[in-house]
Amino acid sequence: MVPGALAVALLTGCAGPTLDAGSYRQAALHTTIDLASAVATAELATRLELTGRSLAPVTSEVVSAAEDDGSSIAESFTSRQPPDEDSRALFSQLDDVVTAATDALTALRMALGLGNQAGVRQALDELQRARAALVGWQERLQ
Amino acid sequence: MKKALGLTLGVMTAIGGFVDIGNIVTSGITGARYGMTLAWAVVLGTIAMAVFGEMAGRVAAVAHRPVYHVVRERLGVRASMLNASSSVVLNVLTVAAEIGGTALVLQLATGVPYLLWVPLVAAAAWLVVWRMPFQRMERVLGLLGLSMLVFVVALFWLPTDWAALWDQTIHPAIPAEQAAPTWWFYAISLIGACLVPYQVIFFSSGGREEHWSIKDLREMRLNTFLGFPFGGLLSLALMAVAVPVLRPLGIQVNHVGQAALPVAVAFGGIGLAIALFSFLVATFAAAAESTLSTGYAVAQYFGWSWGKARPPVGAARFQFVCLATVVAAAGTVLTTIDPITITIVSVVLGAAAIPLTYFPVLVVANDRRYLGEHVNGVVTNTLGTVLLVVMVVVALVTVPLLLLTRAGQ
Repeated sequence: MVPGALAVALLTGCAGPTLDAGSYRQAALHTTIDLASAVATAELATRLELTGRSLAPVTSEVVSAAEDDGSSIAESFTSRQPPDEDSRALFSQLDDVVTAATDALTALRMALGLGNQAGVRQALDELQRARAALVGWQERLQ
Repeated sequence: MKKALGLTLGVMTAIGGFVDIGNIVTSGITGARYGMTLAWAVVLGTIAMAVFGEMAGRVAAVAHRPVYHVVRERLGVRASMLNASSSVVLNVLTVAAEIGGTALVLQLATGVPYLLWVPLVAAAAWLVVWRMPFQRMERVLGLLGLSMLVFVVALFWLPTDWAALWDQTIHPAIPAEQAAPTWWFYAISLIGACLVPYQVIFFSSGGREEHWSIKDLREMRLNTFLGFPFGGLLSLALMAVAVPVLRPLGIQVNHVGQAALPVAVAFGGIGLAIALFSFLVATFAAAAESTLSTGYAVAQYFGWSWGKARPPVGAARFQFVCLATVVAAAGTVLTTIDPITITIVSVVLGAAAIPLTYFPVLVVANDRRYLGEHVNGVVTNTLGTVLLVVMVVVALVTVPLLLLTRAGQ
């Protein structure tokens, strides 16, 4: 009984309905925090790899997991219906940052897989910019 | 040397109990998110585990019976059924979490998808349970588990702000940017991760596997008062290494790999390899330990012959329960439910069921018919009762907090 209820609660708790502008803003804040975490994870793992302080399979796995997390966070963000025009405007502005971050995560994973050092460094630069933008949004939304 | 090896039961219980997949995940999450403000939860859980572990070990050594064998006799078949059945359900979930955790570590190390590792890990866990002598199992896994000390050493190697760590530890305030219910949710998760029911079943049954008697009480106490705090120390180290490395970057731990990154920052690839190895040993030891605990709980409840000292044919039903547990757990992971989700659910449900496991231990440890002059003293009873009240509070708030915070989101 209890485990069943918990399972339902956990499964349905992934992206709850957005009721008003305040909770939409709160959800946007969580998106920036979670996505910045995924981006920072990929950055840290890759910088360790580039300085010879990691193991290739671990870097690959950590970056892939960060990319999956990023995709999942972006999907949850875009699946929420903005409740009013202000929220719609917030979505439009933040969507660019979210897309830039997830694209950079994908580019990093691909460059690592191909052993493309220049591509890895370029993706890292993009991730750094995306993370700075996400942190900026966190400060604005808090 | 012999005395040091005598501590391996406590060390293995600590490695496989405190520092299993549940603690690797919750310590990593909390260190990265809250700094050391939740260290008190690990300390509280460790004290409770040591106090109740000592009671369970004393029952095993003095009454020459594992604690839940006595519980069934003392509380009756129906009352102890609740205890035994909750233990079995939680143990199966825990075995699933540990097998999944071991497979995730192997995926990290090799790049091979974890689902392909699950059957192999399950088979290996069952082989250890079935074939490996108890003492060899505890010594090999206990000693290999010492590799987790790499997290303690890393803490000294990293640019750790000790004053800040200490300040957060002794002034446990909820960080301003964090929600109070989520902080409390992780507090109970940490307590639950320290007090997983299978530990006490494994420890007391292990005492019988090693034929503890009254003359071994000192060794048993050394195991509880050194072994369990050692597990607590490792748990705190896992939490603390996240503070100087992951927390400043805003990294939230969602995966096992993230929890190992601070060691890579400290020691590079070699450190990372040792960290992954220690995760592998801890989760595998916990898989074996919780599988055995299921067999112990069921066999002791029904009064079947049990134990690794007996040949499998002499304890066939016990061995069958262990096998069925591994199969059910591996099947659960193979449904592709995220092992980390299974881990959090098992830890939180474990927290909700803590009093069911520990209250009977307190009752039996006060019964002179079983323990004679070795019953609890005033200090132990006072401490045990206070801790039990805390456990009841934890159990009552666990599920509401789980739902309120959407499992700590």
